[in-house]
Amino acid sequence: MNLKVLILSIIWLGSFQVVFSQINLKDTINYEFVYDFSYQENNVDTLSKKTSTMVLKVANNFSYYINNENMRLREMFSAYRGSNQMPVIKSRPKTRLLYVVIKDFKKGELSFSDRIGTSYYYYTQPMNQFKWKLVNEEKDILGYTCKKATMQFAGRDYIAWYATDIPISDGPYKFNGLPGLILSIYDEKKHYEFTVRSIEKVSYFFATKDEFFDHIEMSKSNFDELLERYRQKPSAMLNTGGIQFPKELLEKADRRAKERLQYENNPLELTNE
Amino acid sequence: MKQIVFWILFFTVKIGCAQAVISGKVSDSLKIPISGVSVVVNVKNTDSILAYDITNGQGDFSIAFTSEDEMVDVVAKSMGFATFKIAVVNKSQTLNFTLKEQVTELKEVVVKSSPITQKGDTINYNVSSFAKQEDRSIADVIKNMPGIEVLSDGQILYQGKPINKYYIEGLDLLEGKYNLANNNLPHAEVSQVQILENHQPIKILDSLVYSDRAALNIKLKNSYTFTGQAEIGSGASPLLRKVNITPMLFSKKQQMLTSYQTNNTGENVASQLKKLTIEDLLDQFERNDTKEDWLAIQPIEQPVFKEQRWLDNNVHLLTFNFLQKLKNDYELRVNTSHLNDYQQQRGYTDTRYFVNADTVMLLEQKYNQLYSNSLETIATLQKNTKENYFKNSLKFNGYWDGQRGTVELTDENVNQNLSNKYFRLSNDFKVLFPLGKQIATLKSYVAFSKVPQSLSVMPGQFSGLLNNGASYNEVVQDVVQHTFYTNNFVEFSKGWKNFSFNPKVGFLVEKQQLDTEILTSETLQTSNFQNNLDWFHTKLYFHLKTQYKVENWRVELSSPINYNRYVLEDKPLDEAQELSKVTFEPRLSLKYDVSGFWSLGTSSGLSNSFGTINQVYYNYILQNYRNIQRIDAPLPVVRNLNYSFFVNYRNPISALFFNVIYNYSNSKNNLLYESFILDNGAVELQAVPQNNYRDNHNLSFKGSKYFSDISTNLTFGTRYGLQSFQQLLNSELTDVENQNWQFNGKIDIDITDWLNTELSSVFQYSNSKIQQQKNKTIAQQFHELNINLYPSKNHYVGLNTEYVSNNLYSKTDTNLFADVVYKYTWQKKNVDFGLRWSNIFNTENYNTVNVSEYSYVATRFNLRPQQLLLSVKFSL
Repeated sequence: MNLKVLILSIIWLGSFQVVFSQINLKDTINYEFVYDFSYQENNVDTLSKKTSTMVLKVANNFSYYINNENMRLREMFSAYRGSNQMPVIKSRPKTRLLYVVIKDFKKGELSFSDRIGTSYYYYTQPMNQFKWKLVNEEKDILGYTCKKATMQFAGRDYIAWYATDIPISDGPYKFNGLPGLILSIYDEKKHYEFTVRSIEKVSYFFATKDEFFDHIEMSKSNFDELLERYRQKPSAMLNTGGIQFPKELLEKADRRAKERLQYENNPLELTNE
Repeated sequence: MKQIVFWILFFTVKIGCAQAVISGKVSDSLKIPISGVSVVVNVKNTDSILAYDITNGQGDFSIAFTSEDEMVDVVAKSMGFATFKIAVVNKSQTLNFTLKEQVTELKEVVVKSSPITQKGDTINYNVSSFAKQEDRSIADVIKNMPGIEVLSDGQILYQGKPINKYYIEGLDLLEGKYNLANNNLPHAEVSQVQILENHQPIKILDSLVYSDRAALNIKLKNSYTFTGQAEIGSGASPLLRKVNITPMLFSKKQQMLTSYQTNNTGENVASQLKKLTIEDLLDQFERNDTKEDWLAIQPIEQPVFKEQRWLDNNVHLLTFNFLQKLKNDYELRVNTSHLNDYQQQRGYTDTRYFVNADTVMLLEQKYNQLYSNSLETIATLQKNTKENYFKNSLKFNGYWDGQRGTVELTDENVNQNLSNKYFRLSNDFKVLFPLGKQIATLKSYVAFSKVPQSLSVMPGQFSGLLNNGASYNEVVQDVVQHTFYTNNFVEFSKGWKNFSFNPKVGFLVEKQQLDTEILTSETLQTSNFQNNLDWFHTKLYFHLKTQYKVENWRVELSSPINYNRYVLEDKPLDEAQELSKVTFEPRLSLKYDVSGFWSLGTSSGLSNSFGTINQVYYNYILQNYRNIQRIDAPLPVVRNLNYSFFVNYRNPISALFFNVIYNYSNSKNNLLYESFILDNGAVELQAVPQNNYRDNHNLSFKGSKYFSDISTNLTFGTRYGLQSFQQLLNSELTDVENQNWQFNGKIDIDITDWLNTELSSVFQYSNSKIQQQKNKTIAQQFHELNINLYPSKNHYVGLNTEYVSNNLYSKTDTNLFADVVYKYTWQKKNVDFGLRWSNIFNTENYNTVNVSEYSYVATRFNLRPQQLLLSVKFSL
């Protein structure tokens, strides 16, 4: 192989990387809000309710929303990469909630990234997508007077409580756009519930880029289509062209995935918008 | 609810009123716009919100509201700024204002975060909640557990990676041969299957060396368990039997697993003894402990497809595994297995040699009987605690194998009788100890082996060479080889920034003695055909492996320096040679992940290899009845250069995947070989010291695409290989070029949930060119069609068909096979029934052809006839 051609082709292919690199916003995080998150995986089985902890990190011009255990995992891997010494782990965080929402206040855009199959993908949307109706009702949450607002999103009716004394127009998940931070939001059936648990002023440097996985950008409609295809036949995503998986393994994976997905029939976003 | 109605009414009523729009810009004291400020229009002197907006990236806001009041309040709030409040007249206007920096006091509410839901690195799977009614063994249940996969050969994967240990109650009874337990332990005895994530099997390395592998642990219901499984099957014709009885016993201090398996159905039960954990497999590569065979009866080439179609066996397997916990955390383990098999092969070979424009033809009708009788015993003492790691295994392998072969030639019958025994005693020692801040590993392996083998052929062959041209009754070849082998090294690893270094220092000693002689029925006492070869090989080595990882790059450089010394001597023949060489064998590999879609890599390396004892011997050895040879030559030295390059593309969005791999190797050999067929019929392999090169190019492509509309997966692959090398033909240097092409494709369609079909096809072409003269192209085709039916819950029907076509020199030979399998589970009694009708078309034999530069060999192999097998499986 001609060495020149090789180097050139590496550089050529390398130049594509710019297109795919994940949104990287860097700044000092000023506030951290921790939310208790509960969700019901099956739309009739109330026993399928699961709970987890989510974190919203807010800087001057962006916010970063992630599952708490997933955050710990990232921190742990960063520590490992830095020192090459494995931290003594008595418990490895583990979660299936791998999605991250990054809101860029300057651009007014949010990016949603999640793992489908073995890779990570993300799409961007305008932040301003919630048609809030303000309701003159008040409630106290963690010592903050919160006002009520309602709206419809992706097939669910939501009720939110926001604190005007925390003038951050943000909230858990994709939710934002109220004149104060959303401290509590839930859908009317209470299948999805987010309630603030802790409010903390912090000061540390943070970059939103995922150091470990490439995140591939695509449109929302492509993302939804990909997710749908993955649900239909997970093995179609597994095939890497190079490695031959035994047929029966793929069959098994598909059968199992179908069984699981028949049960997990209650995603947060019921409709694609 | 009342209030909502009120507010909705309130807003609808207000539509009639004039709407005002307040817009403007918010900036800080330096005139820099502030984004994310909430600007609210309130009813004057209340905090009841009329309307609001959040400033955008340019600090702009625009609020439309309707109010009957004369005045309204405008309030702007942002974190880090003082709240700005102003009362304005209720009309459309532009309002720009400046916010003053001021620390926003936030009432902090800090709650300690709740503990992680999953404690420790252990995941517990409750067996009873995953077991389906048709499941019997623990392997069946493990298949249902999310995150765990079981491959067709029994290997268990957790999240796509093979497990590194299979424990039963925390004890490693079977050391990688876990199929025995996994397939035979009834799930009813198991309470939990535990996955130990990031499991480091060597406890002293825990939290020092990161492991990305998981281990699996079986938790039993009772502290004392006696259990097992049995399967009995019978069929025809001829009379078939299949038995598997596997009892096991587990208690706190002892574990025992015994298995007796026998069949004559063509099933190779030896696969149950296959090692499945990666580290046990890697261990095997570091030493050469496979059985050596010097002599052979004339073989029949085995078909390339499934063993069960042609293996005519009669096998008995008995294995016994025992583990006892001793004092001071020591464990003693004994694993013994005995395999006894009798295999028969029938077929014929049509061989044609092209010698100096002549064709020598040979037609052989063969009947081979292979008797194998082997014993393997391993005794292991191990201590594995946080402070110490020590492991010593003493292993004995014995093979008392014999083979008998009859060859019917056109004018005579040749009987061959072979005794190919092999014995080996080896000890493997491993200890880990601290060396400064690092942990060093010391490994030592010592082995003795003996090969006493003997081949007798009746009538005597090569009478010209062995018996002055007179025909005689019998010739006997005896070979005795003694080997002493030891390999020892110290290794440790060190990390620095993005680098990791693995230095390793060691030495190897190999001392071998080869004694052979040929005796004829006429000269049973003395022999002129003797080898008494002493072989002494020493190697000193220093290996340094350096890894560098940053961002999407991964670079690995291994730079071993080896010193090899060989001394060969055959005193009675007065022959000797010596070779000393220092070699540097670097290898560099680069991998770069361009993005989620593309990745590419390249590697190049230089390596050397030296000949083995069966590549140099000074006197004749009768290898089989029609091959007698000696290799009076220097030790072969091969220098190998290797380059490879790959590009990988995977785009799950369009479900398109492909990769391209190119590989080039160039080897420099110091010898050229030529076989001479002497007047007396013997073959003499003569080596000419002359540097020659062998080039090898390989290019392969593989791609796949999934069409979701029709639930179909399509795979396509192609491979091209080109070998060019030089050869001595009739004492002339000849250029030889071999080319081969392969195309393969596969279509997989899920017609419905209960019907799945799969069709795969392979086309192969090869040809060779000698001195620019092209030989005829050989074409082969393989096609397979599988149909799987799941008509209802406890039933399964499978139809497998296979079509093989060979384009031989003069004609095309085709074979068609079909099998039907039916399985039924009787849920109530927990019993499985299986019915297998194999080789429905009763295809009797399989034909292949092999063509090389100077020979043509066509082979016919007799297959297993049509047969029916009924089997029953139940728990003990």
